[in-house]
Amino acid sequence: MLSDFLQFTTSGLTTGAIYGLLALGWVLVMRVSGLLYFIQGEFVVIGVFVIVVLQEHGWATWIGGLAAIATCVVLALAVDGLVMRRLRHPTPMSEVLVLLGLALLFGLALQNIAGPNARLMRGFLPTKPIEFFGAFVTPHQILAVAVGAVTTLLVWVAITKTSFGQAMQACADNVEGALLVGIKPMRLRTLGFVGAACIGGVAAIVIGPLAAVEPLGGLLLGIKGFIAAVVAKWTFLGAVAAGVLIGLLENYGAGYISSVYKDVISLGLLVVVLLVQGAVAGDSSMGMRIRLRLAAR
Amino acid sequence: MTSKMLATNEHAEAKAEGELVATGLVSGYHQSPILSGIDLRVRRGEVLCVLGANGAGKSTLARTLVGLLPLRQGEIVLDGEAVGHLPVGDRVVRGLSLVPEGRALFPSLRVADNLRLGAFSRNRAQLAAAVDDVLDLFPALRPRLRQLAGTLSGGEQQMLAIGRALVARPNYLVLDEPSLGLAPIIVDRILGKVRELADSAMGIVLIEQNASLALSISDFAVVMERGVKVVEGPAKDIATDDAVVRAYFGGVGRSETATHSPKTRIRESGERNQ
Repeated sequence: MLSDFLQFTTSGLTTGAIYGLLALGWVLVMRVSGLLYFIQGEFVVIGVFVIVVLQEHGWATWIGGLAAIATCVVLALAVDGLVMRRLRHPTPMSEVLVLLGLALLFGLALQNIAGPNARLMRGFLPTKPIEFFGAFVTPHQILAVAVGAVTTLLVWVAITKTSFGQAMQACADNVEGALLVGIKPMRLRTLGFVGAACIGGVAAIVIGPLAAVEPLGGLLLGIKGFIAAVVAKWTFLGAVAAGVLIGLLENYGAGYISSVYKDVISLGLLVVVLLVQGAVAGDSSMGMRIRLRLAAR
Repeated sequence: MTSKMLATNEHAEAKAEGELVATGLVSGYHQSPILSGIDLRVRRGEVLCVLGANGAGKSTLARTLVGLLPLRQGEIVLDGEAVGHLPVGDRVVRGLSLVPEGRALFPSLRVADNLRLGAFSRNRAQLAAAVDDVLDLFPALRPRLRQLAGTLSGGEQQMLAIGRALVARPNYLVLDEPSLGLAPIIVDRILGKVRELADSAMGIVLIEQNASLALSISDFAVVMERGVKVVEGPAKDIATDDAVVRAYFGGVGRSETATHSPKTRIRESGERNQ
């Protein structure tokens, strides 16, 4: 009984760490650009496939990991430079639709290139589970939680202790004031995209050995991060906490009820939260998006 | 008063290294321009006062000078370099800053962080010294450094807004209505500091409604009406020019004994609407 609970909890924390990472990406992008970044999950899936393919060709996993992060960054810059900045009449609706479309496009393209099968990365840590109180936890699971915590800490330092973070807050407070001290909001936005892509690549490295990933799985995976961000009203630490909570809820639901309900639980949570909260994006974030339009000149 | 001003002018001339020249500025919002071809010139060490009623285009002028509004026609030359089509940040880097109407502070950041962000793109190396200078200039800010900017009083916020701009050590500073909503004693103090800044070889464009006080610390002045310059001349002449005072400041100011000064030029109405 207790061992069941512990087992669900450890799996929940692992899943939650991944969701927390995804949520960090969503919040970062929202804070710098006001965009709903539906391609955040694609970075994870594409990252995993990059590592798996490189592993199959005999490359070391760490090279695959670096290649995954680099691929994500290049993709993010391409999406920004070739698509988002070129929308003739950007509105919140058109941007959401374009990003959703891109998420589907990436998934289908990956399916065409790599085949429709789910892929599991070869592990790079000892695979022998560690037992405690009748529950088992693998080194890869511990790594996922540790990486989630460290990444959260790094993002927290970046937004509270660096000039990047201060500039981001300055833009949210008053875009005109930010412009007048020489901050370039579009440059911050690009930095935010790069940061979110790196987070996606890192998430790929830790999720790869834990779960088989399908080419079309990115959108749903990304939406878990979105739900966490919405629940936390687009705060950084709150979103990570919400991600962990969703991971736990999904695993308890899957364990005690049925694994069929895994996605139903998190998507149901989104519906409930939207009913209560009434808004997808916090006021400040949406306001900032509009103000950024002015500043983008 | 006059002798002091002459002295500061000579002082300024010795230090002046460059000038900010705007020619034929046309800009505005939407279709119809608000500025319709205005010329300005301010040298380092001088205060140029821009006067005019509400809606004359003073704030539009300020925003156009620093690049918050795009220039449709004309050019802005900063120390010999054309900057009229550069984005705001690139003008800040070159030494042109604005303290906007409404201050545009970062209310959720601490006072110290607001000041620090002033050097985001210019003068970062001498940040600490520049912040110290600002705190010497506005000692009232020193005990407030750890407070959130949004919690300051109006006068302190204005000091912070000016201070934030000064941390970048600009060569030219545009001040848009720094006296708005402030107690007279604080306005006195702030405008006194503005004169000190000019005397330290900064070129200042001072936009004000409070004509008599602004003119008293300025070297030159222009009066705007409907997006064009209608009067220009030395500040002391405009302050004592009966016709100007009556036409534009509704008799406010020291106009009782003044006579029309030949140095002040009032445009004919036909010229005004060009």
